Amino acid sequence: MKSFSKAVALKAAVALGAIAVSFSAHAQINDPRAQVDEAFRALLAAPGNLDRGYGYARALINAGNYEGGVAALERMLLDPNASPSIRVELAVLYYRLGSYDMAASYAQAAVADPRLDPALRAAAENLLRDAQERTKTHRFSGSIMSGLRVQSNPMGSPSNTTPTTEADIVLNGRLEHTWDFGAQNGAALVSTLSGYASRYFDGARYNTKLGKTDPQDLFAIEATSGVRFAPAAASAPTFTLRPYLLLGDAFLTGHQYFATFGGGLDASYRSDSGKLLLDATYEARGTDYNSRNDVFEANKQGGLDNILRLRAGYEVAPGQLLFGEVIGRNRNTDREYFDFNSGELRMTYLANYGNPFGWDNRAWTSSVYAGPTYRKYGGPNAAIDPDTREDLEWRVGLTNSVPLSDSWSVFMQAEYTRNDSNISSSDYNNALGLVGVMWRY
Amino acid sequence: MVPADFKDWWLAAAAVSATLSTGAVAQQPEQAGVISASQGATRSFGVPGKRGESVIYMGEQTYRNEKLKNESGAVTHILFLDQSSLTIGPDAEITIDEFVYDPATKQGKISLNLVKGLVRVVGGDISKTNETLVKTPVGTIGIRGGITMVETNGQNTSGTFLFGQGMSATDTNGNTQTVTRAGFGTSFGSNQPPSTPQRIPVNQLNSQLNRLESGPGNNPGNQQPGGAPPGQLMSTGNTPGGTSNPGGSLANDRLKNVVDTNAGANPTNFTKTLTGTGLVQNQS
Repeated sequence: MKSFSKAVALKAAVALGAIAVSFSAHAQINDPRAQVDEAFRALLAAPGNLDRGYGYARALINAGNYEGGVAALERMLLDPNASPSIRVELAVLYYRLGSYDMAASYAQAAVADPRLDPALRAAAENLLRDAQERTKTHRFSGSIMSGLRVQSNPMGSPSNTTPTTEADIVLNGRLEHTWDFGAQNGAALVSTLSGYASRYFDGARYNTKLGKTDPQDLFAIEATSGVRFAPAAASAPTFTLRPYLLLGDAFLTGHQYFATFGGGLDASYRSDSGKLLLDATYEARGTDYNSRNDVFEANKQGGLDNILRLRAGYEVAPGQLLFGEVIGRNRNTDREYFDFNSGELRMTYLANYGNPFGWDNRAWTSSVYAGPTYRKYGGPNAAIDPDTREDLEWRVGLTNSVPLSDSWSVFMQAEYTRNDSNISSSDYNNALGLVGVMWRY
Repeated sequence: MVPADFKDWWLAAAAVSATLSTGAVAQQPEQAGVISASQGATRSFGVPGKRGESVIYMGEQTYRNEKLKNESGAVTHILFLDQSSLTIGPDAEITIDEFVYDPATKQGKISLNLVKGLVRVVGGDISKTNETLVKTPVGTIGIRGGITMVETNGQNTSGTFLFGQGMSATDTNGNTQTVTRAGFGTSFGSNQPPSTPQRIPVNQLNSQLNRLESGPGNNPGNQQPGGAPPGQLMSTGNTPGGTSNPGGSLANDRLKNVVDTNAGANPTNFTKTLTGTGLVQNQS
């Protein structure tokens, strides 16, 4: 019995040892750094072996060591018959490193090589365009989307009523201009222009008369401007600050609704690899509402909003992003029942993936988002209810973007909002569907 | 006097033995790397115990304290043992002053002495923790974890920072400029301190790059085997879309671009920021 136990124990030990060795070998095989070292040793033994050269470059790139990949590939350009794709590879690697002048330089040389095949030529031209744009003193970026939107309850009518479904044409966009001062700390004047316009098919008339029952067309525009810079460029080049001023205006059915003014501070950090993004923004936003009959106590709704936005994004895999946003808002107006403190949490998962129908190699983008907003008002509106209003609003949605070209895409969105309030007349829900085209610059 | 302990004698003997052994190794030329590619003739001024003055070719080892000179039109690429690399341009003359590398800790020291010509240095393990130094007759360029091109004619030196944590330029009087932005560079001379870093024009980069490679063969039938298959690049990894939208897939600020574009396209976000609730309700 005793010897049987010993045999079992011995076998178990051998099995465990084998498993441990197997795990260790497996870990080593999957360790990118070990693969790089292995490929490097192989290359040192035969530097003229092209396959080993490519193997070493590939191992470095897989390990995220793009500068090593540059070193491994640049040596191949000493051969006058080097494959023309090498310069495209180098352009991509320098681009990934944020060395846009070098990316442009290699892309330019690649495009000039008549041996380059059409697909790689298109890739090099795309990269060249983008890299050259990034090295300009003045550069523009942004996107504009316009589409048909249908909402089941755009005005937030109470759940115990029967809201009417409304459709509108909506225009939404954001343009950014960067004026690069050419400084070591990356200082640049960054100005943004955001706009929104809606035009309901069955909207309220363009006046300010009392008693409207249809949704009103809104046009709003907002601009910000401020210098973005890296306060510690030598030690933390990817940490930037941007104090800014903001100015905006909004019109409802063609008449002045409110003006906004204020300022804020953006702080942003991203990891060297670009896989992690952390943003924080504090904004003080003043709003001055116009007096108008068709909006309840419009001239009492103005005041100062303090807004804090925290955002974290992480690339869980190439093309797959997870980001979370927390927004705190403190609104101060001339009426307690317009004042509120709110907290919003929103999580988004976004995936880029190859065209499922395969008619081109552009990536489709889908996202799913969800999150609650809790809102507590400053005091009761006695005319409606003796209790102070508290809301819990949930918003869930899906978006999908299908590229038609490098600049144009079809944008689709579905969203559902449900607001549960302690005041029954403030309960509402709204379902939204949108199909539009988006232009990205 | 207390007699020495036996263990102390043993330790002393081991120490003497280690010293002698180190001394013996130090007399051997230490390998720095290998010539991993070459075009044209590269002359070595000789390495005691290894070779006399001779032309060296791809696959040959290079050593600490070895002086190399490229002939007109020659370009050489050296892969160091720490996975750093050095591309030596035509007519350049350079000495590997120092190369010490411990593969276990991945630390060490590289110092090069560039008498004249153009070189490109890509940092490996050593430069992650210790500056790679390129000394020139009028000052020194220090490279921290990155890629830099250095050129000197003996009277003037220029350094172009292409990627990394930073590049320092120090003249013989101790004046220093640090470049931290890719694509920027500085130059200095015997009586001219390092200039304020400024962007290097792309045509200047093109010109330097051209001198560090052989021009395209322009003959499709005489193409190096390998390279990417049509439409596929190893450098994009498995990033969906590849280079079709590089700002959203490959750039190191891609997350911000994607998040801004995605959030910016959603009209609800804008109206919510604007009005607080996202709703416009009529007076009832």
